[in-house]
Amino acid sequence: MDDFLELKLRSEKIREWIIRMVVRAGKGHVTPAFSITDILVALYFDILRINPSDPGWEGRDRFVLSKGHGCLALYAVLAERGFFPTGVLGSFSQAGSPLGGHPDRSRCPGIDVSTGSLGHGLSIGAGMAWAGKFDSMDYHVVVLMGDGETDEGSIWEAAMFASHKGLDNLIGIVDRNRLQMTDATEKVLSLEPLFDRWHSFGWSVHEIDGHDFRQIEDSLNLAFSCHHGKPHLILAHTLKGKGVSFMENRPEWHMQIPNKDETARALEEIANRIDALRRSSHVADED
Amino acid sequence: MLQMRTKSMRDACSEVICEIGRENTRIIAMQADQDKTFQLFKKNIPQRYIDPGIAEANMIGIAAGLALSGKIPYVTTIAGILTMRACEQIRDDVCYNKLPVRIVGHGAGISYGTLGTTHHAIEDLAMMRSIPNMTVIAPADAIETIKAIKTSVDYPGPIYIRIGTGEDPLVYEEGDSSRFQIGKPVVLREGDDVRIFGAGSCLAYALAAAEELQADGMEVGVTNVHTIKPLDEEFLLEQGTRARLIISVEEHNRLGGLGSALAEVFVGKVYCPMRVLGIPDVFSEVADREDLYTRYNLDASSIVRIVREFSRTV
Repeated sequence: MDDFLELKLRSEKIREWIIRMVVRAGKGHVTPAFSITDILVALYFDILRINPSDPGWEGRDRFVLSKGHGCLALYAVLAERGFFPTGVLGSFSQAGSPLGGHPDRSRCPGIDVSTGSLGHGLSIGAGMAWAGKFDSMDYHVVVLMGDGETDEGSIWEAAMFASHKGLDNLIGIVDRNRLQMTDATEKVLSLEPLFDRWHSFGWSVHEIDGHDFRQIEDSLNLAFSCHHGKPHLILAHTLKGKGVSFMENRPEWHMQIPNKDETARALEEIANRIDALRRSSHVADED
Repeated sequence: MLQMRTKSMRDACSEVICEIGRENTRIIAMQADQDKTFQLFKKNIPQRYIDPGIAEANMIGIAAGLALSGKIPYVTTIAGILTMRACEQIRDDVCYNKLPVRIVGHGAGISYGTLGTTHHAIEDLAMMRSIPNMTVIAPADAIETIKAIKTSVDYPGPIYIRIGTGEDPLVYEEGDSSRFQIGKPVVLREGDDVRIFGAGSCLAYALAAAEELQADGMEVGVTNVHTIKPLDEEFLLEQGTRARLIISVEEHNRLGGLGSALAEVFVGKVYCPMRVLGIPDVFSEVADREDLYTRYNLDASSIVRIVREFSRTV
């Protein structure tokens, strides 16, 4: 039996939701959501201490989607996790919907911080982490950033602050899909050596495959349990567009909406993987 | 230049922030590598004091995170630098998220005088008041600064408070016990021949000008519009309607500040002539504050001259 079968199936379901949401709305960021889908599924279905029926519970772990344009994945995960009915997902980007093109905490249950403009989330997360320590609360704060987002200087201001204050209850995740909106990160503004950069800013850095649930969970469990006076950075190598072959690693799909034929192919790929996962689990069970 | 009684708004701020900090443990003070403004808090309540270094944008983001965690952060540094460098953090992190962050900018207007243009703040009111959810306060002097900050503790949502630097003229008497209410203008002097609306240190000069104009037989009223946003429209319209001439004075670009805010209220409703005094949409020059006041027609004798000219033409 695959330890992560449920999470894998959940991820495929989320990807299916994402495709359906953007096709219905005619807009949205698909591939930046696909690259973080597995990480969000691990966080919300296994790692974060949260209560969907009491989204503002004081003792909850906090999650900040600093790359707010990845919100399609977050909306689908929050709905599947029970923060609001999955029926609401169909309203994405419609007038008056709680689910806009970037997350808004005043409209959507389960969103801790409204974000959109890049480079803001880590400072906010650092403030939450500082307050948690000050109040002797044992919650953790997870901030998910895009790799292109780390072009922003404010990220590095926050990185300095967090290590200076020893905020080991703060976990940054960089979605290292190596593409920003227009091109490869290394062509636009080189980020490497990214591991060394975070390390030199005083962070404890864990490098993982951001689509391998074992590695995602091991790194998060380590970060959540290790309070050694340093903030944690999980450098998650991911694939932009992960899960739909013709979108993977293609910058032009950053905001593109699949046409009818592409939608059918995308949904078919996802459905085939779901079948394969179910079959493999039956085979394993019969063994 | 007439001699004014002065008192430092920053020193007053330091005292009152420390006082409210002692009373309310939710208050966190943050200062970006600055001293003075929150000095007493830093000294007496170091466990709730954060210096994030010279990183204003980060400071505002952190403050938003603190407010999201139940704290009431007071943050400060130089007004122009804070409101410009961190403008987007103020808009997105603080105002969009509707958080009770109190942003204290010192060095209002041209009060940093010879430090020069980069250290002046003549655009802050325009920027801050155009952000939804934001409350904008420019206290008249050190005494009103104390009242404004005491009142700010439990007020909902984000607040921007701009204060001076050091030798700020006094408008109120020491021990003044009049009530301060956010959003409620204060009539400092009655008179409807001319009504001067002002905010911040300019009010001291407006009052001196009104006194001098009395000798001309002109009844000049002065109203302290300490809260630039929200404006008490009903009250201001009532005052504006009674006046025969309206003057606004502020240590700010003539575009977008108090004068603009008043004109937005008066348009189509108040039909008397109005003049907006302020920095005439130029980068303020390098000179002592008092010289700059004279240069930009904000000192008492300039106000007197302008009112006389203005009243002859209408």
